[in-house]
Order: sequence, then structure tokens, then C-alpha cells
Amino acid sequence: MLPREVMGILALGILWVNTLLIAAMALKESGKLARLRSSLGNVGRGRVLSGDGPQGALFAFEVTQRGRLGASLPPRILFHDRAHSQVVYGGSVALQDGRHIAIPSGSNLEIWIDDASFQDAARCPSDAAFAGASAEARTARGYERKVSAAISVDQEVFVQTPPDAEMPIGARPIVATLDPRAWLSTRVAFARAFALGELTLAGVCTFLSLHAPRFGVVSTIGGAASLVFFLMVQPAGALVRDALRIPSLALRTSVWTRGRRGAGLRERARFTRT
Amino acid sequence: MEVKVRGRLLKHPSERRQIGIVAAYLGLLGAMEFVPVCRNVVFFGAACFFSFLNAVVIHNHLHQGIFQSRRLNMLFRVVLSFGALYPASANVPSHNLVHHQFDDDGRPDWASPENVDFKWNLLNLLHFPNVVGPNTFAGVSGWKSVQGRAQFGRQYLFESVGAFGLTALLLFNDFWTTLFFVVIPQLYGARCILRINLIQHDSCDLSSDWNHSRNFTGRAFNWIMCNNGFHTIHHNRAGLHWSALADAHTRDVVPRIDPALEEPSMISYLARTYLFSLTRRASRKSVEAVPRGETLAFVPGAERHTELEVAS
Repeated sequence: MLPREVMGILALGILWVNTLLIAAMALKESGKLARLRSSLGNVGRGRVLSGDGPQGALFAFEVTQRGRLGASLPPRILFHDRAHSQVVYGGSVALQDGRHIAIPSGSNLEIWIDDASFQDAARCPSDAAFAGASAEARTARGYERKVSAAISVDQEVFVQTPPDAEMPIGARPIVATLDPRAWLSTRVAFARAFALGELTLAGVCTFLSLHAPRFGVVSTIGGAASLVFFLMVQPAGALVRDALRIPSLALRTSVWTRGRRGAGLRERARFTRT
Repeated sequence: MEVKVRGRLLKHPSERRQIGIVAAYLGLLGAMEFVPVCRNVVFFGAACFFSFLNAVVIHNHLHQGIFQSRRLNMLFRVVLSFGALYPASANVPSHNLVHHQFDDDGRPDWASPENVDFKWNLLNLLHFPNVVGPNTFAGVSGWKSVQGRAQFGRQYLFESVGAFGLTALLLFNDFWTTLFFVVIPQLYGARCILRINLIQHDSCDLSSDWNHSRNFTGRAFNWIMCNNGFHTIHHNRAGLHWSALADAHTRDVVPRIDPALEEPSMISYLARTYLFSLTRRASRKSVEAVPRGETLAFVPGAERHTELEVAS
């Protein structure tokens, strides 16, 4: 016979191995972001002074998406990413400290676009556009489009700058519509908080499970909580991992909803496509 | 050689092996749940092993239904779902349509080996289901939310209710016994079948037509695993019945594959890769072997995809 105590130790062992692995994964990702944060150096805040692209665009982050008609009402087209690309048209940025940064066309930049800018670019432009797209979206192949989030003259940007205000040769400096230092710091704190919270919850579940009398009412509640925790911490860990993806790698799903022009769009980070 | 038995319950006589596996597994679970003397190491170990085999049967059944009757096939999916504590139909999008292409319409395979990247390789094996499981559930949820998949959605719901409902009833009846002797084996099988994706593809060349998978060729292993060790030919010819995989592997794969991807024993491979090696092997871009002898039937990606859709 396998005594309940032995099986209990086995079950708690399984719980803790996986809890620690998920916490380790979150801390590992946060470590990468912390290293990136510390390697950023100077990040200048400024505005786009000139852009050589369409409508004075300095650069654009492009996402090829495929949309398919959703099953539920109201009619919706559910988009997912197929490929990311970027175009650097070239231009210049005036930093708040008075320096000007020249960005040549085709520069090898790491472009980070904030959620709101991407949402603006991904919105359904009209009911007619929805109707046109939905015909293709109901086919197996789906409706393919390219969302181009362009950053143009007078828009605020953050530029990773060297001391001499020239783009380093061979480096891949970050140019962002959000403050990369703040974004990285927030994500690092979030990952650490998740790991701490996860370990605390596992500790609470373990404490309850081991409550005397063993296998009594409180202990059974602890066992049930441990099972629920084990099943839920895995998707939670996956969500955290997705939230820690840097903006240039985060996949951005979006939704068009008929009759809700400019609305009904949501964005979230999932998976990575490098 | 494939033999179809017309007018019988089963599509193929070899399916009796799969029925036997599932019956043995459910028998073990039932015995441990209701007969205290059966709650021992032998029954528990066997239940965990047969739970993994139950997941192998899910894999085979979701490629080709075991029964002639469609209704029986759908009902059997519910039985299998209880054994694995996940809806068996999840295999259609996650395995048949995505994993076999190593691609989800431009996104990576939900079960891609790249999902884990610990330096200590054993941690990758342990952690893999923690990432791939949620990927799969999220992926299936998105896949079934698209128009035209309502029938799949109903079957998925039916299987979810069967799997989680019956398990919840057992937990309600005797929480600790069910947790220790039913739920742990169920989860063991479900998590091991996810790990197989890592074991069979890690460090392989996924862009290759023949070197995308690792094969485990032991005879006894493949008897109990219903030929699931022959993974390259299964990927390339998803419509081929599992009983025909060994011959097809010898005929089509052996002359072409990098011999390093032919492993006689999975246990030896696991020990070598995850226990006696602390680091992960680098991904390979191996050169496919030049076929020896006569020209062999080549199965390019497009053809493979067509066969997959038919087989799903």
C-alpha cells in the first residue's frame, strides 16, 4: 500500500518543482530585461523634426496580419500576426537637451511602438472596409492586411543615443514611442512581483494542505487549492512570459467589430516571432 | 500492409491493441480508486505509464478514428479525454494542423522546442509542459472561435464536460484518493505527451524534409507505443495508419535521414540527453543523406499538408 503521507509528499513535490520552474522562468526573463535596461545608456526624449517618408514619416513598424470571421455575434474579424517588419525612411529628431539626431534612411534600428499608436493604425477605417474584408475573412485563406504604424513629424520619440549624438556603426539603437527605461523597469518589477506572489501562494497552499489533522477539512481545502493553483499557475506563467516580450517582438492580435468603427480593437502580446 | 475489416466494429484489426491499452488504463484507475489494496507502487507506476499510452492512443485516434462508426469515434474521444484530463479533440488544431506543419499560419508551432531555454537541459524537459500546455489551450480557444468550427466546439465542450466532470465527481466522492491515484496519473500522461514534442524535435532541422524528427526504433518500444517511435514518416505521411509506419520508415526514411536521428532506445537517449548532459545540444542544420538504391517517393510540404487535412 502507498500511504497517503507518501503520496502527499509526492504531490507537493510535483507542485513545488513546477512552481519553482515557473518562477525561475519569470526571473530569467526579467534578468534579460534588467540587463537590457542597464545597457541602454543615454535615452533622449524629443520630437520628430523631419521625416523623408509619406506624410513626413520618420519610420514605420509594419505588421502583416491575417483575419478570419469570428463565430459569435456581432460579426467580428479576428486578426493575428504573420510577420513583423520595419521601414526607416530617414529624417531627424530634436532632443529636449537641444541636440539633433540625424537618422539616415535604412538605419538598423530597433523600433518600439506603444499600444495606442499601433491601435490607431490597426483600426477599422469604415463599415465598407469591414464589409469588403469580411468576404475574404470568411474563406479558409482569410483576409490579409498590413498594418503600418508610422511615426511622423512632431510626434514624441525616445532615442537611445551615444554621447556624440551619432548613430553607432553596427549597433541597433532603440527608437521608441514609449520610454524604454520606464517600460523595462515596470516589466522587471512585474516579473519579480509575479515570482514572489506565485511562491507565496504555493506556500499558503502547502501550509493549508499540511494543516493538522492531516487530510482533515482544512487540509482537504488546502489540497483542493493546491490542485487549482497547479492548474492555473501554468497559464499565468505563460501570460507573464508573453507580457515580458519587448514591443518589437510582441505579437499584436486585433479585432474589427462591425458597427463599431474605430472601436472594438484590442491588443495583447502573445507568442514571439523573430 | 493495411487491412480494412468491413462490417466490423473496428476499422483495422490492430486497433484491438489500442482498445486494450485504454481498457487496461481505466481498469488500473478504477482499481486504485475503489479497491484500497490496489493503491500500491506497481498499480500506480503502471497507471502513470498507461496514462501516457492513453495519450498516444488519443494521438492515433485523432488521426484516424478507431471505429467504423463516427458516433462511436466521438464517444471514444470522451473516454480518452477523461484518461488524459484534457479534451482529446484539442489534438486536431494543436497537433494535426499546427504541429505537423511546425507553423501556425506564420506563427511558431505551439509545441516548438524553442518554448524553453534553460541552460540545464533537464529543466527544459521538466518545464516544457508548463509552457506548451497553456499555449495549446490558448491556441485551441482562438482556433475554435472562428466561423465554421461550431461542430468542433460542441465536441470539445462535450469532451471537457466528460473529462473534468467525471474527475470532479470522483474528487467530490473521495478527494485524496482521487487526487493521488487518478489525477496524478492523468496529468502525468498529459504532460508526458507534450514532452514528446521536445524529445522528438529538439535540435532537429525543422526546415528539412527528412531530418525534422528524431526516431526511436526499438521493436518492443514501438509495439507498446503503437509505432509512435517512427516520427519522421508519421510527419511526412500523416494519413498512413500507425500499423504501417514501421515498414514505411524502413523503406522511405532510413535511406534518407541523418543516421544520428535514429535512436534505438528512448531510455538511453533520455539518460544521455537530460541526465548525463548538463547543456542543450545546438540546433542542427544537417545535410540530408543521398538516397541509396532506387529513387524514393518524395513528399514535399504542399502534398504533406493536403494529406494532413484529409487525415484530420
